[in-house]
Amino acid sequence: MGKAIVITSGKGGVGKTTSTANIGTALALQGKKVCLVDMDIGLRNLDVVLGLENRIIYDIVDVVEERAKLHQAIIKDKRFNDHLYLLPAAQNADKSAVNEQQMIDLVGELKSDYDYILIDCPAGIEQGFKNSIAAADEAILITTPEISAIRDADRIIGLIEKTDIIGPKLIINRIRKNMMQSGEVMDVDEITRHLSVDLLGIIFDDDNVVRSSNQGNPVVLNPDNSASQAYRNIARRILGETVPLMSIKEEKLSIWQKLFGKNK
Amino acid sequence: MAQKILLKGVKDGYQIHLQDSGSYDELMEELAELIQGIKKDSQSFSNKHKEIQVLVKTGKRLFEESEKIKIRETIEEIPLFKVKAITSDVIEIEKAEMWQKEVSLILEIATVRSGQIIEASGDILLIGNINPGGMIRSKGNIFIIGELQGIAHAGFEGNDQAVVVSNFAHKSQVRIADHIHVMEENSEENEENQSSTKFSYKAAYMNDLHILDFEPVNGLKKVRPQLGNLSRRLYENG
Repeated sequence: MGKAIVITSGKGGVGKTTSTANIGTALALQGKKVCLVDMDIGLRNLDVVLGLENRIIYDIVDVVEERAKLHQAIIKDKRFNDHLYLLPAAQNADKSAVNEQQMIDLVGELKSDYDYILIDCPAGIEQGFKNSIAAADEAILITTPEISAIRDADRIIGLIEKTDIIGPKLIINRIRKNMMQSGEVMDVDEITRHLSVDLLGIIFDDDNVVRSSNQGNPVVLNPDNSASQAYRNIARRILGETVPLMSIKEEKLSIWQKLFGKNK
Repeated sequence: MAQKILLKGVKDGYQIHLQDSGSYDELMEELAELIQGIKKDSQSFSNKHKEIQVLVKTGKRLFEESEKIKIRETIEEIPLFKVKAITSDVIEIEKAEMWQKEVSLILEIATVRSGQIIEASGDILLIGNINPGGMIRSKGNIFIIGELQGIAHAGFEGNDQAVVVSNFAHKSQVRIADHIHVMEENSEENEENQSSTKFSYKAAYMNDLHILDFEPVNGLKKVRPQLGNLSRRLYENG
């Protein structure tokens, strides 16, 4: 029996879809069978980030309206030896095309076939959000150190706490080390304390995330990248391992390292 | 037949004790008899006499509103008699629970998040933070052990004697009854707090000029002496 985890934030543009793709990929790399469900009906992106856009034949609305079977709509990502799958959202419908009960049934069906079902939640707290959390067992909350994202995260936690979902876990995304060190934004401790939830991971802002998403490759595939490492750590924590947080300190290069290049 | 009604003279009028045994009809019959008797005797009273206050005590029995009116009418057949009140030694459970709610302190351990409202009909003690956009609201007083960054509204049905006790260390909003006070981060109220190393607790209250004021907690007894005195407040409620 699999576990359904919703990935949500409230505010848009903080990295829900990117995180869903990367955490899903990282779990698949750890040998788990993962199905990603895009719930952003009408504004689907998860397929794009994974580079699977051109392979969509049926979508979630087709399944709900019984024009297609579930297995027909699910796309297999060939890069991961039968470990990563995607159920795409519809583009020509809106959030009300699916209701909460249909979502519960759908995810219930997926749970028997997959270890993890990651639900990519749309921004906002309307029907799309309600559908996304209806079927979830756990929740991952994405925020950035920006005050507006934190405020929305607080609201979302309040809504999630009213459901049966096990306490949401926090990911702080797009951390700019220099700003956090100089105290221009709230630091990791302050954000975690303010929201009073468990911290699942922190991800530093990195141009490569956007670069590789644009090529349809989740950044997590590149093992040298710091964001990639962060997503891999998050996946390991989801699997129950204890992994220390990455250091926020900007590593200071010694004069010799500066002179001869950074060769570590 | 045992007497079901007792007429007592007291300093400021009469008291009529209605026994709580026997049926209502029997009781009313006896009451009517008694009143008729007094009426006859009082024929001699002239109208110079001023009104006589009568307090009706019903023991461990509660009467319906219609029955109370009947009792009142029966007694007031004597022109000089004026029923001051009909009281009982007991109250309804529903009313008792309401009272209890209003006078007891509710303990809430929670984080009040953006969009959430915690509401109480009596005093409330919150252990936890009120995040921006969150709200705590009470007909009575509010005590907060934690950081107030949202809205605290005490006495929200118009009780301007209510207080809010907290360390006012952040941007927030304090409301008492219909009065709204916006706290800025570096406002006067918490300026001295910020200069000292630790934030001290203060009570926000409505002063005599109907302006929201702040008093260190050790001065709270002075501005709201009745606070925390349960029996006195019960009496006020009764």
